[in-house]
Amino acid sequence: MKSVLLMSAAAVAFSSSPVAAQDVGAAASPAPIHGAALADPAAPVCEMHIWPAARVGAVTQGAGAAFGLIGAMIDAASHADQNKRDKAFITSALDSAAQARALREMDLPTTLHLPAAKVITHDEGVELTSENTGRLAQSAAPCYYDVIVRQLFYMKTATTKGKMRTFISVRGANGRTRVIDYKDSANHALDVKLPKEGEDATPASQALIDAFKADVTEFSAKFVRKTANKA
Amino acid sequence: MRLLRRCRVAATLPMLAISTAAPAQELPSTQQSPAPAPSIAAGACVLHVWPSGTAKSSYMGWFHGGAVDGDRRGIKGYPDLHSGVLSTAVQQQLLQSIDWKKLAEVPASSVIVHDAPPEPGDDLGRTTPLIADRPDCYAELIVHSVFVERAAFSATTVRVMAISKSWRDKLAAPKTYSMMANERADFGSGDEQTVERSLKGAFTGSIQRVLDSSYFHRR
Repeated sequence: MKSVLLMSAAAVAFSSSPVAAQDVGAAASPAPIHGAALADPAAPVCEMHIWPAARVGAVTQGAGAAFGLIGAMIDAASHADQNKRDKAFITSALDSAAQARALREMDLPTTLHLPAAKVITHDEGVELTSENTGRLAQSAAPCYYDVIVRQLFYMKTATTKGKMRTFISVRGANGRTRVIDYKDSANHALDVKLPKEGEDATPASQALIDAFKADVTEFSAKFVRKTANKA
Repeated sequence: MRLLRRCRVAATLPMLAISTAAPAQELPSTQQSPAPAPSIAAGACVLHVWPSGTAKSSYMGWFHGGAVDGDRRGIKGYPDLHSGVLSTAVQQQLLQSIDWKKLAEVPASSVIVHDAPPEPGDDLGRTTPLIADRPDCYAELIVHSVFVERAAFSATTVRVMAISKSWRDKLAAPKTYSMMANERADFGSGDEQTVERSLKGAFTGSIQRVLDSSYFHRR
């Protein structure tokens, strides 16, 4: 089901599967036909498309993982049900709607130090391959960004707390020229255990959302440092 | 306020003479009341149930895994888990067939199963009910998501994530609880009818496990 909620007067004319669009920055104005106004924060001519995670993983390892191949096999078998449960729980707690809500609250264009942009969140993730190097959404906006949450990965070992790692890519284009292509990840520890069947899952859901936001914030700081003067 | 969808009364249980709302207090005529006291609901308890969107598939094998809905997206190495069988419409039918009074200690005079999931929102943090015109005694059970899942060393199961919210008077904040449960699905020979029957049975079994949880038996 695709629904469109336009929070600005301007329609999102070329997005493929938008769920919500949001103007960030100043009042909306019709997009100019060239990119000369990119630096002008008063005219958000940019589009930012946000894609939720298409991949989710969860691995818990016990001490057996340290005992060679046989130990790792036994350990994987003993944690198979738990890994399956954790993966489904993370997929549910951080579904596309939850990711979109979290990212909207963070005002991503500002956090990434990018120009004011109309933010369009999609309800289905994309697999990034070497073939899809262009814009992921059909858009004619002169200034365009794809923010792709590539994967959410939970990892817990016998000696460490559970950590949520978020892999993100940001790709930007000015007209037909790609100006940014940045991939990185960030992780944060969870203060609560992921729930078992029948337990109250509310605290863990909130902890996952908080870790996701913290990951995006850390990623954004790295992005700003590494891509200064490129956007 | 979210849009309300069409709904259908699944079962009308005998009216229960339960008055859980805070008793209305009579105030002296000179005292100003900041808000009208909640009225006493005489057995007018209602439970609204929402199905989720179509079930997702989750697979983690030896060489492939991680992609959500990998089979439906045509990714190589992902076996067909037939999660499309558990569509919203099928979930709604299965939810209607549940004996709510028997399985959960729901003080509800009626259970209403909706046709479609509610609009996406922060159901855990939400303090306002989805149904504006409601009695004092009101509860929601939202099937947030459904998975057909399989992993190496682990059986195929149907997993249900559910959020329960209950209000006992109009001014109070709701009690919120979220939980998950799963039930094994045996695809047997793999023919279409067996798979469908198995998935439907596992979905109903998961809902029953949710209702068996201590939360529904201590309210």
